Amino acid sequence: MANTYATNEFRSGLKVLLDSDPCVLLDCEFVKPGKGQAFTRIRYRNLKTGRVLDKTFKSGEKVEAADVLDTEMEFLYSDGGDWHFMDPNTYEQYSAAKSALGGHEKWLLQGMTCGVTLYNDAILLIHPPHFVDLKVVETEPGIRGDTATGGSKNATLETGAVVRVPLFIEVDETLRLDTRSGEYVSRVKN
Amino acid sequence: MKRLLAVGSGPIFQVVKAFRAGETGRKHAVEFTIAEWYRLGPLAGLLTEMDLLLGDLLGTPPAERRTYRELFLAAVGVDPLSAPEERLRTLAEAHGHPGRPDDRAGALDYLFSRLVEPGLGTRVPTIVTRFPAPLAALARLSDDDSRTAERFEVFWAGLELANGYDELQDPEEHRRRFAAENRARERAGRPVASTDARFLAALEAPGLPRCSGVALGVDRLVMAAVGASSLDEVVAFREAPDN
Repeated sequence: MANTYATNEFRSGLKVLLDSDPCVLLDCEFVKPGKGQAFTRIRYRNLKTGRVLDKTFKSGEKVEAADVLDTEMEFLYSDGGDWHFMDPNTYEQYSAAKSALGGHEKWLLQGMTCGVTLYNDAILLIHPPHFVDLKVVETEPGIRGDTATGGSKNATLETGAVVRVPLFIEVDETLRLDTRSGEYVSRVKN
Repeated sequence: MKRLLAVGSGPIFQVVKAFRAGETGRKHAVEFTIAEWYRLGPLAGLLTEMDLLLGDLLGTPPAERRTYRELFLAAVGVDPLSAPEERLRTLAEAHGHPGRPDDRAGALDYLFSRLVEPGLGTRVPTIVTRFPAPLAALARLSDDDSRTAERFEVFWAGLELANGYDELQDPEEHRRRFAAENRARERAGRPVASTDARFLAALEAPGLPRCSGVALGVDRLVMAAVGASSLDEVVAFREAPDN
């Protein structure tokens, strides 16, 4: 029988199935409006859609636990259709569809360690490191002495990602990038 | 305490532990402290005393007094006293009640907590008066309107701090309300409360004098005094969540 959680076991971070989707509880509050029924009000994120929603349960209600595990895996390669990862402890390989990458595929470099959310032992979401260091493969020639205007230009990185960078950046330089904002942070000494 | 009042104690108070199985949250604990007191006479004197006490303890400005009906009308848009029960139950479900509430009291309690309470006691403490009769608990019905009861609650700093009644005196009405309460508990699958024969006997003779009583949550009072957002911050040892 599936594992369940009663409302009195609710706490933030708990992974449960709501409307058959895996969800994570963000906040929960016990509410007793009168002498009768007590409630537990939750705020949760649907891990498939990313949407944050509210829901009220009668106290004592049970919900099914979601078999969700947050772990880390090494990125191996992409065959164009799927992205392949390996659990560094078991050497077991997992493949992720494009939907699990949420646009983050452009930061992935072979051998990079990523956060992975597994649901029913399949990859649900990929979380790249917050900061990645990638080499510039293509950009217009650097213009020196023009830093005061704060101008910028496009640079193509070794993973194919295109980012805005300062004018002084040259091909073959390694850059640090923030994957959450998609922005250039700094140069990294080779 | 009401048995003491019946034998002529006059005004009395106690600071005492109260227990509620299974209630654990930021504003709820299985074991908590209340200050409970009674004074002779109708509610008006107790409301004034309550307001002065909050001013002394928390430095709050004078409380505003609002009837349940005016607050409910303003926030929910329907009349809690005259709206059909079905309308209230449907509305509660539309506002996220899991399924339809069992009865009128359940629908009113839910809608009030969801739509009215968040706006109470923000600028000055709010004393909510004249609760609908289905939420009378052990308060007497209003002399001028049998649809409302002389019950009040005090809200301040996002907390319900106190709940009080102009105490019901009639023993027959007590029996009816205890029976109705137990029917509701049975329907909800909760344990039925046993009859307190000595309390009912005291109501018959010598009888409860006209009095008003209130229970003030002491831990929540401390939360309000220090600006805490959870009981964890003001209670030394919290019970583990019950299994």
